Amino acid sequence: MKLAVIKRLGLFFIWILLQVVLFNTINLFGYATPFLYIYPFICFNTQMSKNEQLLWAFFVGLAIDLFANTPGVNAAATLVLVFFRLPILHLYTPHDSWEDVMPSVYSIGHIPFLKYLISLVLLHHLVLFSLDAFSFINISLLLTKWLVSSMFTILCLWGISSVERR
Amino acid sequence: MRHLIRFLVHHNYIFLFLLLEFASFVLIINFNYYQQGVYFTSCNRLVGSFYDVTGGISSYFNLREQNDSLVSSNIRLQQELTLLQQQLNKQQQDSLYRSLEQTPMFADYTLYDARVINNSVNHLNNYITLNKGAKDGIQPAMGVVNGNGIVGIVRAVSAHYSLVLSVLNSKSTISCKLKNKEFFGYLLWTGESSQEAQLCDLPTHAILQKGDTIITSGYSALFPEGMMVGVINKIDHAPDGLSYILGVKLSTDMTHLSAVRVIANNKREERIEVESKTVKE
Repeated sequence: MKLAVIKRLGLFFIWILLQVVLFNTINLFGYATPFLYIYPFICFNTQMSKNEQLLWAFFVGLAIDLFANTPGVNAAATLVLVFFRLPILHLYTPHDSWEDVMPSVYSIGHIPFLKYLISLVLLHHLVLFSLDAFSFINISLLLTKWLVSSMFTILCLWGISSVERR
Repeated sequence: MRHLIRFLVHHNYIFLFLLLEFASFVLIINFNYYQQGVYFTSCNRLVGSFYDVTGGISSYFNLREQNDSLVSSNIRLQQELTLLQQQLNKQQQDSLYRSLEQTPMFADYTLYDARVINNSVNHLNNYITLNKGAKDGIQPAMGVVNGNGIVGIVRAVSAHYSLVLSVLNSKSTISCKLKNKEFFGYLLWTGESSQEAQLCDLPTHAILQKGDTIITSGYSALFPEGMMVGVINKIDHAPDGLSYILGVKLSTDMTHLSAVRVIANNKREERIEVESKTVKE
């Protein structure tokens, strides 16, 4: 149990480091920034305690926020992602197949995983960008940023999930 | 009742979710409305020292561009200097002019040098972290510039680091004017390009054209008059018909920032005191 927590801590540490040093500096076409640190949350085992998932989501999101000067924004978005993860997975996969599974391209299949991924990333980024904008009224810019960044994140995470064989 | 309690116990994660979301929103609102929150930003000790290291490394990657921009700004200044010297020589036959004492631009200001250790351009509200803080004399509401023009305004400081509201932030408003004319407006960022900002509130009777230079007005205590801001690249009229909305190409390349200067106005407190007195009366 303890070992699992330390392992997870190490994993998140690497993702946070990559996100703040590398991914946050990417600004493709002036619009797209990938938020790949959400990958471990997408792949959490469905059996994992929901409270634990939420706590991880909050603290990892907060860590990203500290580095990006957006206190609370990533934390709120990641919490939403984790909260709606299982209901969304439920939508796209047969009832009996998601009892004890770590969602990936190989465990639930390409199409269901892609649907699951697209829904979650769109949701996460929507919360993220609207909270980041906060008192900033420029809907078309917000939508462009949201869609382009989501697309970027989805492509990257789909690639990672396809490459990562377990 | 028992069903309700069982439901609540079974779904206790919903409460945790709501609690944590609430905490996040408190942080968001605190940061957006109150200036004090330094601890949850990159200018706290831990994140600051992390960026000190990574910023130090990444500053080597754009040395070439830094050099290029220094050379071109040197050449421009050299040219201006020659031109001004020529003019001065012509004027100096006039004895009255000679007696006028020329005060240098930074007479009432102290400059602190600092280095950008973290910078973003892809948010709608961008911030910059500097490697100098309260212990080095930096205080909130000081202007930040580099060799090419304005960079931002110090928003919060910790002991060793400071957080700067970038020009590329929707909350930043900087008082600017047309060079050689006394028409002024304020600079805003619309979130679109990291190269461009908007100048609003400039009256329509101002005579201007594309390519005109925009400088700081010196009306706020943040920047001395005449710091370079950018050049006009688009001219539009505001919906009210009374003012222009100008597109301004920023002279500072906000994507590659390294060495900057923080400007402290030595007479700022005196000035604020006088101004607030006048308002009260």
